[in-house]
Formats: sequence, structure tokens, C-alpha cells
Amino acid sequence: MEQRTVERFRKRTIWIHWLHTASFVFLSISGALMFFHLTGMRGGQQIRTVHRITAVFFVAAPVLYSFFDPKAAMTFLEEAFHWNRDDIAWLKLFGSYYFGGQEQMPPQGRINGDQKLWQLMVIITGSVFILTGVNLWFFKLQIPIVLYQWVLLAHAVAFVVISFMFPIHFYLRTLHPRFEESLSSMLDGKVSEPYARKHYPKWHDGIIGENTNHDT
Amino acid sequence: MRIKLAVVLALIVGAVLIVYLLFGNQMLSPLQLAQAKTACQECHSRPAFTRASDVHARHPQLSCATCHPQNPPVVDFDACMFCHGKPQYTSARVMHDTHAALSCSHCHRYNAGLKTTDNLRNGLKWFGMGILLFGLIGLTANFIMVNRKTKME
Repeated sequence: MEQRTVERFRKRTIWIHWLHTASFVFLSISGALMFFHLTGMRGGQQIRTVHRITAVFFVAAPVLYSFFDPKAAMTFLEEAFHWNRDDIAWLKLFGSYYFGGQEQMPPQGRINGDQKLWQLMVIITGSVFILTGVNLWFFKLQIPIVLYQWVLLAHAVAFVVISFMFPIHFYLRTLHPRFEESLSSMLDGKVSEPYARKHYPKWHDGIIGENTNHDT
Repeated sequence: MRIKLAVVLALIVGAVLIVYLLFGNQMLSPLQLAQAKTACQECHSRPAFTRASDVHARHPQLSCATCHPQNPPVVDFDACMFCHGKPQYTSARVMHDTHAALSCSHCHRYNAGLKTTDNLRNGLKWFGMGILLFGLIGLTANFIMVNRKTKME
């Protein structure tokens, strides 16, 4: 067992990640109950209250993160929106790679192509959730009823998109044998040096380069 | 310093939220109130106005348009009668919250645009369940295949 010494995530990032995950899970469950009409006549009100309280945490997590660590928040956005050839090449091959074929993959930076796609979807759907959610919560009696309907539909579309992608993200980072250190890195923030070199060679080389420069 | 600022900001936002949630949707605009008062005088020489909830409770048999002619009813009252002998109107907020399990077109069935999104929403539900099922089957297949390959190696 290799020693996990390379710092991949900071404590703050890990806390924000899990706070956001927990609120997302609660929002998904309460949202699904309303979306599929599984609440009773009176139950809808309680579920909606739970949904709204959890939504506050869902919004607060990235806001606090941006407030306390604006640099890291900017890096998160840059990573999601900046795509290079290797990222695209990764996405073209990742199906075969995750099904056990394709050993050699294009070199990746701090996050790989499918993680970038996930990050991008989190930002896009999260923004849709917040924008539409604010209207559904605070302005439902002010906006025209037809607009309300379309806003509700946009909220539901974002829910379907992220509900499809979340199990994939969860599976690849917790159960998939090729990313065996992914979950533990989101618990204690560390990965082993060979793991970093194998999966994120560009990032790994950057860190090694930095350390070498510091040493000299 | 940052923490103090964050706490102050959170308190301000919280206070605004609480005030809005408590009173935001209960306030009638002066125009709406004037319309309602004019309608009272058709039956009462000296209407005793108490609270909106009292007035609504005392006139369950009237359609909204009787007192609010400028606001035509957006609710199909026959739909209310389908479940309730005598619907008790309180506020649009309470009505929406207590009927959260119903689709919009259940009560707003004659309103333009509702059927369009309701059909889309129903379609979206099936689509959502379909791709979720497809995804879960794919992940299960992946798990079995990858683990088998790993064991063979």
C-alpha cells in the first residue's frame, strides 16, 4: 500500500463538497417527491418546507466558499470552463477506459475530462436551480402564471439532467476500481504519488516541478 | 473581520426573508383593496371590514370576480367543489402550499399555457425515469464487467 502523501484537496474544500452533497441529496429526495406527486395533500407543504430549508444550505455552500476562498472558487470555475485537446480526447475515450479497455489515456491536469464535465454541469444546473428556485419561492404570486409554469419546467429539466449525472459521478468516484483513491482523497485530502502520476500526470508533474523549484 | 461581515450579512438577509415570508404575500395593493370595497357596497350599505381572511370566510359562495372584477378568477371553482363542499379561501400562498401534490392544471384548467407545460412536465417525468433506469443499468453492467476483468488480470 503506497503512502498517500500528495495533497489533492484542502480541508475547506472537503467540508464544502460534503455540505453541498448532503444538501443536494436532501433536495433531490424532497424534489422527487414533489415532482412525481408522491406527497399527500397536506404532506406537500412539509416537504416543500424541507426543500426550501435545504436549498438555503445548497446556496450557502458555494457562496461561503467564494467568500472565504475566492482564489479557489475562481480556480474551480476556470477548470470547468477551460477545455483543452486532452480533455476532449479523454471524453472520446472514457467509455472504453471505464469499461476496462483502453489503458493509455491522454494526460490530464488536476481534474480529468469527465470530472470537468461534471463540474460544468454542477455549475450550470446549480445556476438554473438558484435562478428558477428564487422565482418559485419568492415571486410565484408576482410573475405571470404562464411564466411560473415555464420556470417550474426549467427547474424540473435541471433536476432530470443532474439526477442522471449524479449516480455516474458517485459510482465512478466511490466504486470504480480504476479510481480506488478517489473517495479517500475526498475524505482526508490526500492521494499517493503513483496514483497522482498515473491519473493526473500534468498536475503531478506541476507539483513535482514546484517542489523541485522550492528545494533548489 | 470576514466572519463578522458574513454574520451581519446573514442576519440582514434573514430578517428580510422573515418579514417577507410573514407579510409579503398578505398585502393587498391599494387598487385591489379599492375594487373589493366598491363591490361590497352593492350588497351592504356599511360594510364592516375586518380582515381579508374573515371576509373570504364569510363569502365562500361568491366567485372571486364578484369582489375583484379586475382580477378575473384564474381558478376553476368547479375543480374545488369536486373535493370540497365549501372551499375555504385563505390566501393564494396557503392554497398553493396545501395543494402542492396536485398539478397546476388541476385547478387552473382553463388557463392558457398550462396544458402545454403540464404535458411537457409529464413527458419529462417519463424521460427522467427512463434515462435514470438506463444509467443505473449501465453502471451495474460496468461494475460487473470491470470487476470480472480485474479478477482475471
